[in-house]
Amino acid sequence: MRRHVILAALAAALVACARSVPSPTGVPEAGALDVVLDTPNGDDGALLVRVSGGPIDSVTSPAGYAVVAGADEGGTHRIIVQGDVVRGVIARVWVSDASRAASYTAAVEQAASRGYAQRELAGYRASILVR
Amino acid sequence: MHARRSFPVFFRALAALGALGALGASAAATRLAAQGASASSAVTGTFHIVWADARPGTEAPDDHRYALVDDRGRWYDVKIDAATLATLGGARALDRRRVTVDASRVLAPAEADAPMPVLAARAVRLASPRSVSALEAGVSPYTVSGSQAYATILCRFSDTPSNGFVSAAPARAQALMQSTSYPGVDDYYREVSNGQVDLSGSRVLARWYTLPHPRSYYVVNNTADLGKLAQDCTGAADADVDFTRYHGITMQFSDKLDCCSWGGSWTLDRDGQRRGYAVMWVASWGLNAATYDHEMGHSFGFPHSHGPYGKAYDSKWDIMSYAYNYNDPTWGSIGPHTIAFHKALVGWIPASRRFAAPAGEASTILIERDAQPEANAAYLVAEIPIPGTSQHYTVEARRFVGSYDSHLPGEAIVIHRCGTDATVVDPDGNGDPNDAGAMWTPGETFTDAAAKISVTVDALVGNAYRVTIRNGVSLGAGVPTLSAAAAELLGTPSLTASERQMLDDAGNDDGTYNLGDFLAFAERTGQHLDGALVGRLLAGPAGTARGATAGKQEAKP
Repeated sequence: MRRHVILAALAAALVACARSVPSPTGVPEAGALDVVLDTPNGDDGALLVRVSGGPIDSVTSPAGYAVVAGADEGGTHRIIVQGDVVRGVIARVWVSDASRAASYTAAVEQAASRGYAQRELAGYRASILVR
Repeated sequence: MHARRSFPVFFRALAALGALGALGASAAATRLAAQGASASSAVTGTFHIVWADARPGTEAPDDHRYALVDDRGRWYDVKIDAATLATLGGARALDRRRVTVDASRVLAPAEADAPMPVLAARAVRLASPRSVSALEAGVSPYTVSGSQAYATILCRFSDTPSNGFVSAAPARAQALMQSTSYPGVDDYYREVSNGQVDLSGSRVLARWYTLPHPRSYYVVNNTADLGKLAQDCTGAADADVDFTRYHGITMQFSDKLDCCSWGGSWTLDRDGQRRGYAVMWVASWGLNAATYDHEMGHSFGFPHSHGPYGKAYDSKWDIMSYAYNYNDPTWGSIGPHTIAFHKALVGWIPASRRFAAPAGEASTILIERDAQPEANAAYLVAEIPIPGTSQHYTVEARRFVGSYDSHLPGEAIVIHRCGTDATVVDPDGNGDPNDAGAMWTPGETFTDAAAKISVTVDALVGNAYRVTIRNGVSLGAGVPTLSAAAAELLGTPSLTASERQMLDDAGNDDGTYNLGDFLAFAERTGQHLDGALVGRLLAGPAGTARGATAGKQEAKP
């Protein structure tokens, strides 16, 4: 019995190491953060949103927009959201450590109308909502 | 085979029409030249471009010379600036035509420090009934077809001692110029012209004719007097040759000349005719297949081609650049075919197999290999005019085939930017126009964003490549991939400056590549962001979808 306990503890430690878990208390829990858009316009065709604060595993869009994301050399993530974009949740960001959700921030870097015009960013706001 | 070569007939007609009025000016210029005086004058005669070819491993000081043989048979070196030539449509518009040179100065040989007088031209005008408009209408003075009979004469400077070269040269010249098998010049041009040209009727006078003077008489300050060489060499053999039977003359000399061997044309009075000949002046080191093939190309009117790096002999895609692709153990250097630009220039590519890319359209065509093409409906070259210039791109397919293209740098679509001559399109800028950067293979796209031209190699189909050419079409396959356009916005530079400009021009045109341009690009080309793209991009900078090779990119998925 004691041997089983030791093996289980070793296995847990290995999993923790493999995930590079910063917390000494155990395996972090993965989770999702929603990127919420506030826009002054009703005909946005695309948004470029910067997400900072930590690593991102993947990006989806619960609203059905086309999304693509990437990281620059400094680790800053950006997301392009394409479609008939309206205010509300525009993207879902999946992270490996949901406990760090509060450290994530979002900002709109570019906005384009459905007619391809580049827009001024006054009135645009992106925020992170922990699910 | 019936012989049809336009310029000798043309010379004869011009001589009859224009000689009378030009004699006075020519005589005046000659008097000035003889006195070493410098004064303006006008000299009328036939204009010739003669190309210089340095010994392998060296560079010629000049790529070519311009010469004028006046109506009394005297010759001049002509110095003329590029801007003046450009107003006339380039030197090729004058080559082998009767012209009047308005010279600001006529320099005597002593004053010019050269073996022949020099005309410092301030203007050149055609002095014949045929005008530049004839060229614009597509009439080429270079049309070469049928049997091209060359007389080959071996001329020995009076001071050349007997040596191994002198002993061996007659038989070697005979083998090169009279053999109809590989790698004789006849075999080479039969293959290169796709059977439209041969050297039937040629004759090699397989003995040396001794010139009346030593080498130092013909070569002064390391400048060969091509006129003296032609006069004395053909004169020495005149009793044995009926020059009226030949289109061209090959002069093989017993020693080096100046820097170079030379090829082009010249006007001579022989056997009761004053007319132009295709002419080769070959130095002793040039008695090999590569040099003969190259100089004969010049005598047909081919200029040099080259890579975009300021070197004369760096393109292994063209005998008229690097002629030494392969070293035959018996015959020495063997060169490749010449490029489609030159073949089209002399009429070896029929109009039905030259694709002129229509403006404002995308076209998908098959381009058959340049050498030994199949007799099918595929094109042999695509020509794409470059807006705002007198230049165009040629797109040709090169494959390992035949006796001469089997040693190419590779198998690919090769693109040249062509004007007065042809330059290999090689966007990697690494100094080598023979590497992968200049080889366009399936999946790759050449883009000239400023000209709104792109060429995408879609696939290899048999011996041909299927290519999609966009001429003046801003968007579509052949422009940067959607993933590259996205990566640029996501923080990983993935577009060239010209690609960013192209996307902006075709997008919101606000002077900067931005999200609106990306959106326009995606929607107008029907491309979509997808999960696979997301996966690649989330891999970080190394996972961006575009490689680092400037100017080449993957085709649209």
